[in-house]
Amino acid sequence: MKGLTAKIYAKALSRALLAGKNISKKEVDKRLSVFLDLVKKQRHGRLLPKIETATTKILAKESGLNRIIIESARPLSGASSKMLKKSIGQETIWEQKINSELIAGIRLLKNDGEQIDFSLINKIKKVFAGI
Amino acid sequence: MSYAIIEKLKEAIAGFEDKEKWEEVGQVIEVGDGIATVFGLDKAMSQEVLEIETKEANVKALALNLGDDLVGCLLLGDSILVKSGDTVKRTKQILSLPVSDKLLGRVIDPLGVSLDGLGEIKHSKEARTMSLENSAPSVLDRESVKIPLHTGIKSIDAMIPIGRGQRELIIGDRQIGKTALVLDTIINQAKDNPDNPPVCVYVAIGQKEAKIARIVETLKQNNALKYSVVVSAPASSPASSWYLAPFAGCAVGEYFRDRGQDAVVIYDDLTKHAWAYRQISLLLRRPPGREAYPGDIFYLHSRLLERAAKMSAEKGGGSLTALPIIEIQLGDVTAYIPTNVISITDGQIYLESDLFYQGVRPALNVGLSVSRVGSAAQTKAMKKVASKLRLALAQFRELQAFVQFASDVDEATKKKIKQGQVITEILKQTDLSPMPIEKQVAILYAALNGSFDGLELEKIKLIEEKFLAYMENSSQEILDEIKGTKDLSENTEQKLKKVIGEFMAKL
Repeated sequence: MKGLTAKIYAKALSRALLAGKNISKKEVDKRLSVFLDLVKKQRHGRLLPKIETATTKILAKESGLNRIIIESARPLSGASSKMLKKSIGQETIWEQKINSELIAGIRLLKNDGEQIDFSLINKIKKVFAGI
Repeated sequence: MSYAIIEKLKEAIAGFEDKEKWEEVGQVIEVGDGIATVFGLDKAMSQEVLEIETKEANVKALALNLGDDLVGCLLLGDSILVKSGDTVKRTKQILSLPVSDKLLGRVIDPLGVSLDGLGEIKHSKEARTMSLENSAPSVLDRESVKIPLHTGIKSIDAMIPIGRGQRELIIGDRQIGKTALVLDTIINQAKDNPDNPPVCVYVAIGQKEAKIARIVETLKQNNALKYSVVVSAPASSPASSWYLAPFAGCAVGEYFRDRGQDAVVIYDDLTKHAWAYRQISLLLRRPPGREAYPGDIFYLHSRLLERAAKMSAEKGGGSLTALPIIEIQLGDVTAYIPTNVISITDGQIYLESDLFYQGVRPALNVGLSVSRVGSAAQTKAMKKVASKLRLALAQFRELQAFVQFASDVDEATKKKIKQGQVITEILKQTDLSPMPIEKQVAILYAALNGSFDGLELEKIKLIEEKFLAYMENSSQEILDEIKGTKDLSENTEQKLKKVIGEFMAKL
């Protein structure tokens, strides 16, 4: 069991969660609990953050949904948040984070694997790199 | 001053154009000892440059280990800046450095940044971006080695000739003149070919900065720096720098080779390079093999040295000669790295500490040194003169060992021993004094034909100097003829014989 990686766990978990049609929330919790017991038994608790990221990625891919984290320096107003969601598409799981280091602008992180950076700090860094 | 900065900033902002696009990103989960482990970046390529966004500045890293969900990378910048959780971006670029003529006379680090305090290197229009990892030329693009690369060292040019495009290993214990030998070779290139000397790339791996500074100074004093490039990865630099330096030096040499020029790359030394690679591999948790080196240590050196080649006329006819150096301990050539590199190269120059301490310098062991392809490239004149040199020296060594136990020695044996002693004296050479090939031919011709056999051994070096001065003053045309034709015709040989006779008569 030494070679079990986060990816393998994530594949197993996502397969378990997607098995069957219209499964109840209770059933999902049960499957998750069995999975967590297994991870605990294998003493692979330290892999859980990575398993979570990888599982979210797989589930989003399987269900055709994107998981997007919007980082902004200040909380986005309802109007701008709505506009942003509209321009990117409906098939998305959204999450918002505040990161004051961005100074201004936003940064989008898609499925924990792709990023587009419209922040001011990124632009400042690029200007200084060009000098 | 502040006004100038503001103006520069204004200029940069005015010309700033930015088109943001989706980039593949990962996250640093572990960092230490110049190595970072990154989660994500599923599509990262091996040897790809990654960019780690830290709070202070972006740090470059090189992807080396591609795991199932982790990428092991080598930090190329300040590793203190990198923290767990930092975002890592792909650049989709293989590690490379810009190369042009402007590198000549400069000291650079493995990423092409100047280290000599002469300011930023402003490359010309012909500059090319050369990948540090490049595939070796194919068989069809190559030609056999046939043009000599004169080192200016009598014993090497006469017995272990090196050809352009060859890979000749220089091996020996510490402090017995390995670096001195390659410095002589660099210095001799301008003397041998003043109009178009081969570009010499000296790669210093894990050496003391004082030694590197001394080497640069020596090259400068001997007017050799103008056609040389020094790639420096000093002892104080991280293992990543030691690991990349030979590949950077090779990339610089390849630029000139691909332009149809001749280039020589000296890797000083590959033992330290192997140490650096072992350190990196162990930190990346690759399985250790013999002497804890990773399994691909042979491939590391073979892929580096295979890039040395003599290119065919269709490919420009350029050449890249490799002179790797290996430091051994107590004369043990059977250790792992020495045997690997011996088997990769086209021959080796073995320097022996016993000979060095006996005063034979360069301390070349003729028996263990060999050049597998160089004889095809040897200058005809030298080939004619030195064909019996190796045999004469081997006989001398054998007889010398034998007479230690014999009380009565016949005249013929005594004569052979004397001649061997004379030749050994003639082959001695101080460092930083490479000798032009025509002078080597003249002096070896005289010695091998027994002209100096009647002289006292202590006076041989003085007589050699006098003879060469006499040749320069009275018979320069003979030297010019040998240099021009690269041959020793019967007519020239007769003239040379006559001059030797005249010199000996005047002595």
